[in-house]
Amino acid sequence: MKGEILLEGIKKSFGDFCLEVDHLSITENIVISGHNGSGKSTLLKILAGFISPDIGSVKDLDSILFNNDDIGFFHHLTGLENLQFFNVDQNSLLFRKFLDELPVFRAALDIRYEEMSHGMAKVIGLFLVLAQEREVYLLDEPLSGLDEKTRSFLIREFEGQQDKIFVIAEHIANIGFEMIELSKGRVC
Amino acid sequence: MLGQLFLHLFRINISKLLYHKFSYFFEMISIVLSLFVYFYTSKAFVLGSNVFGYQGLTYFDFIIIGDLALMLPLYIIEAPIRNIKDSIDTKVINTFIILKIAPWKIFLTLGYSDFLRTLMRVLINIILIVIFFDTGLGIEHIKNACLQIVLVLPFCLCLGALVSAFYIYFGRGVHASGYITVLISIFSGAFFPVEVLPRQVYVIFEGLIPLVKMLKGVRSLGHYSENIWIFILWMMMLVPIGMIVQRAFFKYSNRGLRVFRF
Repeated sequence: MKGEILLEGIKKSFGDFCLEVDHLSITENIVISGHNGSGKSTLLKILAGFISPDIGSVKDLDSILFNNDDIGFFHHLTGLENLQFFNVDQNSLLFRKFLDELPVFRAALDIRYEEMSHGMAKVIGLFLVLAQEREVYLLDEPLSGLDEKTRSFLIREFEGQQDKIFVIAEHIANIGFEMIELSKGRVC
Repeated sequence: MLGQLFLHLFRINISKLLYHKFSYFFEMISIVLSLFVYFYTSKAFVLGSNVFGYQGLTYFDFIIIGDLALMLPLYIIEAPIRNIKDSIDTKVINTFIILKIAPWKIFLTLGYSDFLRTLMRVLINIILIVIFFDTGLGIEHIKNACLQIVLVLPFCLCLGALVSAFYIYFGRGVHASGYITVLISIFSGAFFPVEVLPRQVYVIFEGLIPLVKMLKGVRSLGHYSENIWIFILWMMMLVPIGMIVQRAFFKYSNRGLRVFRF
């Protein structure tokens, strides 16, 4: 049974930009789309509790946020050493799946973070976030910049997690989840 | 041609001087401080170490023991701000925040991530001094020093936490931490016995900086139990200061995890 994310009367302003959500109920996996600067990342950060809205409030969620621009690892450690530092279970099913199906993940495990490609670093970051047991996963552009094989694998993973909610901010529309669009800070 | 070159050079120098006026102000302070150190060192040198209760210590012993005894405490003060700044630059701190790891764990893990290197530096120093230099440094000195140092560690931890909380909250203050450690080493008596300062000034520094008593204890083989109250007082301060650090981390994450630089 999935929970519910309920947003009502949320308002957040930054200079000229204003994000407004009158009513939004999320009970299933969802994709938030919109052009650059439409407020997708801000909305995710509000949901994650990293930004407080000016008006309205969000119920504390058992959530985790992924944003490739924000996440970072120890540069001198390999992918595996970094994951070990954050106590990732190497015997988990998720780890086996990533290892078996994603060559980019396999390669990233033995490479120092400072030497990783954009895709490798992103897959390591995504794995770390997905390895955390949470009810809600807030993923900011998890698929952009990744190859087709990795993208398909990740979408299958998101769909396969029956008891979790994935809220994904993404330009790519064909993920197969319910979609809402943000335009100039408002839900269309 | 040559005249124009000099004119350009002059303009560049003036513009740099005006642009970095704040750092030149601190440079002035550094000059004053170094003159201050030379003046009081020479004064202590004339009087001789025995006057201040450091029987039999040469100036070399005085400096070396002081330097060794201050290495770890100064590291505890200065390391968190430097390492936390690095973790902000590399965004590692964001990963800790995203994973909702407790602020005190973030502070200790990231702040003291190069602790082992400093510890090795201290040990190598001790080994080299004992082997190659004829000092009065013996096992008794080292044992006494270790105990005296442990007693001031809560003070250093509190100060390090406060300085790094300031940096996390406001996004500045990295260079100020360097000044704090320099001032602390001068006024705790790293370079000259602080007893040579005017009596009132000495009393103030002795009350404010526990490292004064620590260094005195280390050099004169004083009994460590005299300084236990410093340990108890600063252990009690760890909780409120820990809350300040937590507040700073909250402010940082509330900025939307943006890496901020000034």
